[in-house]
Amino acid sequence: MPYFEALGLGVAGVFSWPGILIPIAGTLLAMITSFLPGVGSTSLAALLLVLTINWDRESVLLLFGAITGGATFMGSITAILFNIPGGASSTPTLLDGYPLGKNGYARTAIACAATASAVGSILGVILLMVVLPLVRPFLLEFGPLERLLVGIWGLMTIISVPTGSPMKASLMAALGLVVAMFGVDPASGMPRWNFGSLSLSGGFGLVPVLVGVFTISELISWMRTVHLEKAIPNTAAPDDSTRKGIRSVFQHPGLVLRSSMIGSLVGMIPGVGGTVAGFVAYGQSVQTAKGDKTQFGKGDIRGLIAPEAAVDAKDGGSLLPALAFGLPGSEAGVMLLAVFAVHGIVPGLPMLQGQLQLTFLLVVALLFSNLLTSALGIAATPWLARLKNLRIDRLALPCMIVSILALLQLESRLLDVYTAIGFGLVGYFWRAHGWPRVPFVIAFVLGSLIETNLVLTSQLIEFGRIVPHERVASVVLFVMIFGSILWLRTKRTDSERSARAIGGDVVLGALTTLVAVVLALIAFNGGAAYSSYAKGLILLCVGLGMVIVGWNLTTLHRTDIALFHQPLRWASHLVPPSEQWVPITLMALLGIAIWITGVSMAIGLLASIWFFYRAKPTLFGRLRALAFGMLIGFGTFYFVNNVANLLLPDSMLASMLGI
Amino acid sequence: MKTHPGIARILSTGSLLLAILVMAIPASAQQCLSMLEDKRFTLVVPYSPGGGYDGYARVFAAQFEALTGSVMRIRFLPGAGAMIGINAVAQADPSDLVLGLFNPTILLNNKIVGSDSPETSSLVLLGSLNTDTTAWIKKEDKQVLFDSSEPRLFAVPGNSDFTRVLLPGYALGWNINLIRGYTGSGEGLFAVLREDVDFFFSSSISMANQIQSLGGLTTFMTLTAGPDPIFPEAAYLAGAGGVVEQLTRELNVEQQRERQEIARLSVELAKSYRAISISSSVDSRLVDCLLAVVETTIFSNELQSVAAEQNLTLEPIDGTALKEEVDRAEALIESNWDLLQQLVARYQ
Repeated sequence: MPYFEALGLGVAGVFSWPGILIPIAGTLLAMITSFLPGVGSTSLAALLLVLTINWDRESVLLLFGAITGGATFMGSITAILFNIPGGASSTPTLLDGYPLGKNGYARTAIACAATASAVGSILGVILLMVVLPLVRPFLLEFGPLERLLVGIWGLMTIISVPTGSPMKASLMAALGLVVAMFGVDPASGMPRWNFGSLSLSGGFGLVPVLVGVFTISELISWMRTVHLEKAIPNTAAPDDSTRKGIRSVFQHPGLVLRSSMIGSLVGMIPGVGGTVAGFVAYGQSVQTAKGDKTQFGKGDIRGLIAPEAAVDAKDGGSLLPALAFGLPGSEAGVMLLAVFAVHGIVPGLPMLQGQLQLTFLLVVALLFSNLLTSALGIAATPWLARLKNLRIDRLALPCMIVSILALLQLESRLLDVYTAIGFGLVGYFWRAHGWPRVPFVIAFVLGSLIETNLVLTSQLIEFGRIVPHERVASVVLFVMIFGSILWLRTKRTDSERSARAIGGDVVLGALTTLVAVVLALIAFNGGAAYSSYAKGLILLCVGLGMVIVGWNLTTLHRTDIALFHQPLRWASHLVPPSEQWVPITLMALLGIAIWITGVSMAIGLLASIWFFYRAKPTLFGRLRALAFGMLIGFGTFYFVNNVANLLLPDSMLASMLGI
Repeated sequence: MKTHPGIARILSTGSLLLAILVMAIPASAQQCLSMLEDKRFTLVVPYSPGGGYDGYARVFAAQFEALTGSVMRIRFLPGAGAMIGINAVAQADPSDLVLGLFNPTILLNNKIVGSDSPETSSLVLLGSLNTDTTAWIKKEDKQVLFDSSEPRLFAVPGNSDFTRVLLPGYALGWNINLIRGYTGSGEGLFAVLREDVDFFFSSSISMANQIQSLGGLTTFMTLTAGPDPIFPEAAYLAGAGGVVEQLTRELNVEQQRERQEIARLSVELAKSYRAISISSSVDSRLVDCLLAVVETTIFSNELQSVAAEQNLTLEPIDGTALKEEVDRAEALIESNWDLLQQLVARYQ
């Protein structure tokens, strides 16, 4: 079928009546669910796959195109307002989006994010349509070596992330790479750092780690025993406006174009993913920015435009491996292939030739959804910005419960809840003591990609199947990485100058070193599952941890000599403010309570204790608090057993009592 | 919303078909229906949604629900080479009514290579939706010399490389090098297309679709003891006229016997079943009932037509026959245990 005829049929299919209602409904559904932490478009797509089994294939493609496009931008709103990314791909938005909102520019930031998303998606789709006829040779260029280099290029983004201490950022990045290695060695398939747990053999999930490091750590800091706190100050800056946000995107056309191209191209590479696209785009925005760069990380609008444009531009590209080869290159691709299978659509060559109109139908639905989301986002900006006025101390508990239930919905694994709670507690202390969480998350996201492709590349080089300098794509990527390293050399001085020692760093550094030493001992006695890469990284963690401890001890020695003589005072550097003791203790106990009593009762207990603690000190107030807690427990029980029908293991108590 | 041509007709006649189906159920199964009515089942698929088992799980669950009046929820529990999901089934509380949909020969592979996994006796096999064989794939324009001693590179995802690559490779007398670390069958096929590796293996049914999608690839051999109906043009490993038989003609009788025995064993272990199972700790009356109902479900014309609409191949086997096949493979492993362990030790 001729290219433009197929395009015309695709456009006509989306804008037909009542066909257009399908992408509208899909977009609205995706927008709503993407507000829930951990419930991404994949979960929604899996649900709709069942419900639409009897639909015709054009209608289903309209719906799934809309879902893929509709969820992306909405995750940015919670990132801007609450420092909580709605999904993994919204993480780069935290870097400058949240500081903008915090500085009184919530409207500007939301409108800017919506506009950048819309422009990015248009540019992404245009690029997709241009490369569609050439996509097979293009994708075949990206083998393990190229994917490894893309991963390393993404890792270079960490250099661009503003941080007070490059040393701590390096340690956090190394830790992220190590945590990504838990589970199984990709080469031997043997268990590695799984501590005998079958569940941990699958490694830590991306969503639980993100929910822990960002959402739960943030919610812990919201859960104060004193009543206060709005999300961010209610005092909007005088020049904060929707129009300013929209205009800012068009004032940086080069940045939008570059970021969109990066997003679209990185999104096309199978198995790399959109989160990487956002980080890479952020990195290039810092590196190529003209003028004042000091505001990056503190609320520079350019640091918001770049990831937003890239992340939406990648949506179309991420479907290409599924369309062109029938390969699931991304989560969206997995669901799309399931849709294809159920509805008898053959992906690959047929989608690029005889059924090209179906491909365009999907792509145009995706573009329509992206534009609709952004238009609704811009229209709703004044109301969305008002969300910052919510009483966050009251929002925290419901958000926590929704987060936990959303995690359980993913794969019914209690490990995911324990992971989120564990990383939530650790993340709280990282946040409180200025240990940058973003390098950890970037490295964690990229860790598996880097290690898997490093393993494959080294084997293929050994057998003479890859000659790096003969591959065009790898040479281009080498140049880009080299450019980033050169840029690092010019930046390093500034960063080191701005680095300051913090008291708590000694204790956090010592604890990190201790954990790393234990992992290193396991690795060096663990045999073939622990590659040189794994051993090298864990030793790097030990080394960096020791350097941080040593550096800070030197500083502390000058200012607080008594520390050496009173070891108990060491711990005092980590002690949180008194109003946070209760939530931190509750979160720590929640994991244990889930293990002993099961999810429903544990959540009921958590809610009861929390309400009881904050209730008016009257008998009625206390009783009401307990009743609320029990109601939440019963509600959770009903949801787990009757709505979600989760397949959870028995609690210890249930096993003992035989119930 | 537009509807697929014929869907309305199918829906309108659905109740009639169901009535005919229920009338066709044997008396023992009829008695079970009342026992299962309104029960809540969970069907565990130990792989990610969208994979080769996804479609089968959906059509089976829908038909099972329609037949029994129960509710069957599908849970995807991927990870640890399917062991997380398989353990969830094997260790499920009997009252939770947890069924599994996976290939039980994974457990045999794990037993040979010494990986932790449940015994096959911890599960009751209720039936299989289809049986699949393994196909070896190459790039279309690549020549394969079966009797060459040149090193050959195989892309390997997952953990079943011993029974599907190394064991048949030994029967062929090939010098195989594994490139480990590919994350799925799509990645393996991509590696063949890029010529990073020479070969890749996968199940025949899914391979037929993927070859059509990707283009430029072909199946050059199947791990069968005769021509594979899906790839009749491809060579086959074992049996009369098989590649091993041809390659070992010049060897002495003892060597011929050993290589051909390994080839036969490879064929048995390379089979994969989309099998429905339940923990053996479940009450025997319920097991008997499920055996009857699953059999009725997987042999029903209704399931056949729904599966055909969705491009899914159905070759059902009832629970008893499936158990016999798995037991036979297990017995073959037992009788060749020492040789298998020698081979495992060599490749590790």
